[in-house]
Amino acid sequence: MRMRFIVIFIVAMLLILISSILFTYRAVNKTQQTINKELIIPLENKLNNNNEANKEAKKTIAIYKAFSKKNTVKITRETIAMFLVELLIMAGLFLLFIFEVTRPLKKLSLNVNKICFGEKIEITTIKEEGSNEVRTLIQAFNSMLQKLGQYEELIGDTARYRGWKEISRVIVHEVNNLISPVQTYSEYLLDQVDDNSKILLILNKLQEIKGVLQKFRNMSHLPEAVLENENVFLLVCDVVKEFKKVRITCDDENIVLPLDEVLFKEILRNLIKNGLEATGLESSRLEATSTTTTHKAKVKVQIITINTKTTISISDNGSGIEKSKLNKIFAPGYTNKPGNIGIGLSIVRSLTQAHNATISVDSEVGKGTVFKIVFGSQLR
Amino acid sequence: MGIAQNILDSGKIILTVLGLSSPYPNVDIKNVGIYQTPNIVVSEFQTQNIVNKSIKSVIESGMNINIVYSVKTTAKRKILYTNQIKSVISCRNKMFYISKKPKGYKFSDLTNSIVSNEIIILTNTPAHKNKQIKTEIEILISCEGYSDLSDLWGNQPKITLSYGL
Repeated sequence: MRMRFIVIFIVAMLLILISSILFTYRAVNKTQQTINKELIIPLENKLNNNNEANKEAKKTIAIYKAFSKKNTVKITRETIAMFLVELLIMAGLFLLFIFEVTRPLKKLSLNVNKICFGEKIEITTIKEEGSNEVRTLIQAFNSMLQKLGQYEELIGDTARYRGWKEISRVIVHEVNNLISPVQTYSEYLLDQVDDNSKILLILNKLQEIKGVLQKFRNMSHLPEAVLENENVFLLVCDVVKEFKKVRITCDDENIVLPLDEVLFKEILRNLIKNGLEATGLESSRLEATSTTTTHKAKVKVQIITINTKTTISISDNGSGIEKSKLNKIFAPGYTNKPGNIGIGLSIVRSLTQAHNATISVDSEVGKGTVFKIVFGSQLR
Repeated sequence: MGIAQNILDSGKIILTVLGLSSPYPNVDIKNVGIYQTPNIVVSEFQTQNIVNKSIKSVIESGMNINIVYSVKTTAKRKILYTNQIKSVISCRNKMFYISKKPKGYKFSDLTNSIVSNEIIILTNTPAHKNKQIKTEIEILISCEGYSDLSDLWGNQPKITLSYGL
């Protein structure tokens, strides 16, 4: 594109130069001819050869006429020289402008070509340079890149989560079908034999399997959220009451948000349980208060409202999570606890999204972890 | 005037303004040669278009035109021989005369015809044996009150000869 602009520009400049030379030469020539016709020739005719002064005048006129062609060329050259200087300055400015515009555009187009759907976007943002219009375009491109990255994560996670849901549904159904007859016959044999300890063991294990299946069922059959305006502080207090050593802080106890009471409590329950497990505490009942208490709490629930955004953060001072694993903890099946299926946080995230909220996590090994649920900001 | 002629004229104008051509016709120099006699070296050559239309109008106004053949012969930058051969072209009754020769020429004969010239370019040749010699013959034009009218030619006619004796 740049070469095309430059070629067109050079051709245009040459045409302008050629036409300027021709017009100027013809104009000067015409002027000379007019002077000859209107002044010189009538003057010549009036001059009398017998007079010495007239003879000298005739000689001077002859010299003038002889050199008129040369003078025409000389005047044209001087005029064109000035014009050429202006033309060169204009050309320099234009070429500068072309490079200013095309250089960032070329960078932009190279980066756009690198975007490959289906592959991870590896491009970094482009430096904003060039004219205002080009900067606006680059800003839009950088913003698009950011959003594409976010959508890529979202779609990727959504696709993985849907995959898990489907598999869970199938597994739950099939395994249920398999264990049902086993349970039925085991219960029958329980009454038939004297030493039923082993049958009791079988039945207990079957119950455990059913418990695991229930968790999978929860993930694959999450209920639709029915959002109603609820007092956030009251709901949080209800959940905190179920646990020990959990502190609440709230800057506004009257915050009302559209929430599904049951699902919202489930989110909090999961996160608080995780926090308590990270700090080595088991969950138990505790009275919640809205002011700083004298208990040394290791898990804290904080409710903050800034502008239109309400953030509920659940933090603990447990062992923390490595930074490299933070982006995996919401993935179904991920767990750092032996014997755990690893779908709790995945369910928490789905339920958060059902509330039109976002959840994020920050952690430092040895210092603790904080989960933040933000209401009022959405990815569209 | 046809379009082709217009384009041709425009091309000439552009070349002239850019300095690649001249509004005046060139002086042609042809058939340049030299010959040696026991004591002198002579150069012979032919010229054409010494007098063009612009120079003609100057001569017709009553001014005599001086055509000078300026000869400079050197060997290793040392000047061996110089000379200036002058001829005057004048106009009387619309006929042109060269120096004091009685024969008059029409303008068409003067400008279109080929003028043959023979000029001595070195004398005392035995003294310059075995030397590598260079001769420059410059053709100059002037008139009373104007020492240099060579701008009325399309070129600066000059002959350079290199020879050994």
